[in-house]
Amino acid sequence: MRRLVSILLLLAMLNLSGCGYNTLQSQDEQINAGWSEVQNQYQRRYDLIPNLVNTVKGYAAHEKGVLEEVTRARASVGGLKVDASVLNDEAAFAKFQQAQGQLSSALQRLMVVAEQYPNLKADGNFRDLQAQLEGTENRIAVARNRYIKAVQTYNTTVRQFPSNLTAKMFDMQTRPNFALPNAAAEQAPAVNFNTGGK
Amino acid sequence: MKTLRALLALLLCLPLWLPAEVAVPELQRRVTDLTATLTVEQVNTLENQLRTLEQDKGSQVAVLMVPSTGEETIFDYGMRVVEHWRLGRQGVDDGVLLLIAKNDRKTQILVGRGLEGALPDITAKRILQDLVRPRLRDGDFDGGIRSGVDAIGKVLAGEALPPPAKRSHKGSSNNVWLLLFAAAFLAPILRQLFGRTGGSLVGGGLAAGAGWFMGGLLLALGGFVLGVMIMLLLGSGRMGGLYIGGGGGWGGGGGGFSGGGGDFGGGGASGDW
Repeated sequence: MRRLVSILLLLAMLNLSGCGYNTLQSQDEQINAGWSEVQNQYQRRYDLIPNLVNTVKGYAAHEKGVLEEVTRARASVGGLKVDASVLNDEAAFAKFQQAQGQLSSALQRLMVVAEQYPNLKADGNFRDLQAQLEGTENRIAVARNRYIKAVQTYNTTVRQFPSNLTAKMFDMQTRPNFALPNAAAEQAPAVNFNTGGK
Repeated sequence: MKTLRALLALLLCLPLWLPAEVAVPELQRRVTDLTATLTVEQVNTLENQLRTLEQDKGSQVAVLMVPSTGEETIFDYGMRVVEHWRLGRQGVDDGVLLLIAKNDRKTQILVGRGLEGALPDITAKRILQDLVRPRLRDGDFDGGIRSGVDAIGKVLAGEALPPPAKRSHKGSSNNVWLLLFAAAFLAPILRQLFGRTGGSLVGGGLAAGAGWFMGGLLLALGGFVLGVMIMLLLGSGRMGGLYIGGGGGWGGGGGGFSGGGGDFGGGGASGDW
């Protein structure tokens, strides 16, 4: 009987702990997957921009300021390091966020300017690009939210007892997360492209 | 006086937030109209159209009309809806939601991951602005929704998707109860004939056979297990308490509409009128 009890106790202990090692691993993988998704969607936006800039140039070539701003912001995003190593480096992560945020603001300004050109707004190509940009911004938002949740789950596991002991053992640390957007600094183009009347 | 103060203190401690989010309705039908704009016939016609679409292609398309999405954008609200409803088949992710916020005058199409190739953002936008919008402007909500659904159906018709699974009846809880009662009645008889263990196995086998006949392998396996359990329990002479613990779990509420576990990545488009 005693043997049975001790075996059961051992099993219970092992179960409780599994020490969260496997949980940490799977949550870590979730983060990597979430990051890939975020990257995909930012890349999608990145790819849309040249077309968009050219279409706007066709109708509003003298809006040089905002067009150049967008091109510059896109170039600085292109120069960023974006592999998974960014996830362990707070500084690189912050830089990434900032660069993407600047691109978002530049795009928003571009769309506001485009509103003033009725011929541009009526252009079929431009309408398609608008739809794609809107969709992409939405997907970025969804990917970011899922990434944020994945990191929160992981960080909680890393910090809670007893899995924090396992985390320390294997040198697993909390990961940086996206900062909640500051309303002024980083607002994805929440532009309503449909202004009722045509 | 003391109790009054205590009560007051308690009240002050209660969270006084005002819920700013509009609630996501439970998924019960393919067409959910919370604004009471559509007539019953119109809803039924749409439902039939969507049901046929699911039977033919396997994709789950749903329509939701709400008065307003409150402070959230229609996209954010829509995402909450689809993440709760899980339209589309798991793994295939072929769900589509057509969402209309009547008082906000906003429309939204949300497309499951698996259909983002067939129904890209541009197409969704065109459906909303070119087909749905003019009809909504005229106040023809039924026409607007139908034109949207027709267009979505046409797009899906051209798309090669995994064939829809045969709808097995494992959702019906009635079959399980039938098996259990049969098992209970037969138990003492079989015990007489075959002895305790033998009776259990034969009873289990019969339950399995009935289960297979009624609903496929899953029900058969479940039937076998339950049958054996019941035989063993009742075979010793007690006719009392049917141990029906496990039985209730499967009846999924047959007949209703439920999501298939599909995932949404945020694709689609929004419009207005």
